[in-house]
Amino acid sequence: MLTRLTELFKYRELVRNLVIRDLKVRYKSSFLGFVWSLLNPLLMMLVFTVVFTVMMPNKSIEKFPVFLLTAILPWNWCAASINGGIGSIVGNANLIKKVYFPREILPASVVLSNMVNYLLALIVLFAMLLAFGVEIQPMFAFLPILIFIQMIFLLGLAFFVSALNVSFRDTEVITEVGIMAWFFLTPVFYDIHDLFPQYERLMYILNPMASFISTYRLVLLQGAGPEPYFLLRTLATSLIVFALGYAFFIRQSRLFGEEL
Amino acid sequence: MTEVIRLEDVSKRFVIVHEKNRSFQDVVVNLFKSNGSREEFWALKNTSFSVQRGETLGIIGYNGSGKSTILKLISRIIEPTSGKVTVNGSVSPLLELGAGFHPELSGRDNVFLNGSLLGFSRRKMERIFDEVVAFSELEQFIDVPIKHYSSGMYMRLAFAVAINVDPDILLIDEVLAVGDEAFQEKCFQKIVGFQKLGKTIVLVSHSLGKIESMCDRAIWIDHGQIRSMGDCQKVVHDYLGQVYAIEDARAKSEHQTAEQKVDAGEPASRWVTGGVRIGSVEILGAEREGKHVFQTGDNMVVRLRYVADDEVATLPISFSVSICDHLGNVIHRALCLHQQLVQAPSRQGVVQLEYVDLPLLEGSYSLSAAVWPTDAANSPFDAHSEMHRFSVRGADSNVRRMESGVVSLQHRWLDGEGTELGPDEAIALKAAE
Repeated sequence: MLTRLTELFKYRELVRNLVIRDLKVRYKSSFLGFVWSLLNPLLMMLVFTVVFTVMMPNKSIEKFPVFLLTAILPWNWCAASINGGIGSIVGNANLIKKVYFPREILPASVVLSNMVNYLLALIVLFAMLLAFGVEIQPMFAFLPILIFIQMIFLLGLAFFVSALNVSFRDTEVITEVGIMAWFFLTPVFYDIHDLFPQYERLMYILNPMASFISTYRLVLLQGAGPEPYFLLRTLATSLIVFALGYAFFIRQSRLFGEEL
Repeated sequence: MTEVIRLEDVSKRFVIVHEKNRSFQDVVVNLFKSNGSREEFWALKNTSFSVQRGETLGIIGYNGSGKSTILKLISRIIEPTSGKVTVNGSVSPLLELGAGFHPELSGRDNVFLNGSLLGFSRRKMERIFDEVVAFSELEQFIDVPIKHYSSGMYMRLAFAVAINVDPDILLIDEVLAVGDEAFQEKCFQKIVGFQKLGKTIVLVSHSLGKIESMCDRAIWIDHGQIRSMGDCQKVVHDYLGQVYAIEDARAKSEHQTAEQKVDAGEPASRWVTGGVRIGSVEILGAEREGKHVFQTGDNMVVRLRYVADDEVATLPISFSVSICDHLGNVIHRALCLHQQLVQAPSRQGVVQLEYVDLPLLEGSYSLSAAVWPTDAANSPFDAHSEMHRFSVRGADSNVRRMESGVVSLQHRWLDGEGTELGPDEAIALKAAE
């Protein structure tokens, strides 16, 4: 385990380069480039706002656009990490068959480059918060902690799906449907507290993304600190997902060189 | 001396599943059935060897014998099924050049990306960057996305990165065929420079000459097992022994097939217009023994038997025998005109062609023979076109081979005053060029 970590440290340059490569390639060929990654959540926000406040009057949630945006951004990070993670091993078969490097770097760099995206999008979120009269609160200090915990969670997921896709190529198709279902089962465009209490509880237990999004909202919109017990439980879940995903990945990665 | 690479009792099994369960659907359908037909293939069996620091090890063997598996195990691309592989030091595999290059990125970005893929730090890459660019001769194009590179430029950049990162161990798998002659020579010099720096090199090559001239030690691997290990010349000798035994057997069986074809009058690589028919073509050694593998400088005899029809039995006829290289280029053609060799009662005859001091260099060759009417030699009576094979192995393998190509020519090296150079001086002069 220790040798693995020192090795990962040795290859930190590769992580950096792959993240930069991801971002560069993504923004290089398109005309609007980097603006797209900001425009996308804003457009999504606009559509939901029109549907849920204009076409379908909804008075219960204040400041609906920022309410949405606080959820859309971390959700997009999650969805993009999984979608990118699935193909990160299979799509780099030529690399894996030719050079040795710690294979976990590939899915990890997908999660990290999407995290960079998310961090950049947070600038827009802050601008929107100010525009809707939400003040910057001291409890915003929890934000980096939350992001860090979500990163651990997403790494675990990305490790799992990327390795699974090597032996079962159907993972890709199944995940497509899965992500859509997950989106509706995550309180992105509704408030988790509006659900029946038993479902709210169930959702917190089964869907870590619900916990993340509720906490983001608590911190960003209400300026309140999360309950320490709740935060610890989310951390524990994330660590478990990470450990299982990573263990599965390592077990499978021995065969990557020949399976691909 | 310290060991940098060590393989202990290493085996590698590949499982070839013919009906591979690639999808959930297949898994569900085949849940209660046996899992397709599985075939096991041992690419490497109980192999142990080690490489010392500063040593150059050559690996030879047929295709599929396990050479590349060894390199992949050393570079950790695959893991052994059993046994242990220990490697101390940074490895730069020249297995597949340019793996990890991204077409959208510039040459500059790709150099850094490739360097980090090999596990080298950014600071180190910055230090050697100019060297890499200079070596690749791509100064003008280094900021152009490499999708606009020609494949030669691409390979040059890739090679420049792989060889300039200054690894402790260099793994080379037959990739020296990069770019033009001049660039190849440069790569070769760089590798020689590497050896002088005391770096460790593992080289897989089909070129035995390269193995002999570059390596300190060699391994011959056959069907996943080490057949011979140690001194290069010994290993190459052992290996060639087997190669020629197989070649000889093949030439013999081909010869037999050819004979059968002749007997059956099959027109595959032969045409007959009648008159005189070639009964058999034999390739013989100096003592007239059947032989298919010669050494440069041996005597070789070709014996033709022929049968003539009544109407031509009294006319003079001509013979020709040509030798072609493995690409089918005619290297030599011998003609024998106006011969009245047919013995009247039996209408049969024999003609022999003797090559004295066969000047061919190592390689495999084919032989064609034909019988012609002497007048208006438009088409031959009968011809065997490239139907007979023989091979030549280089002169004694412990003599350093100073000639390559197809034929051996009488030559000598002189200095400015016209004094002949001894063999060692000639080598030194050649190296200095």
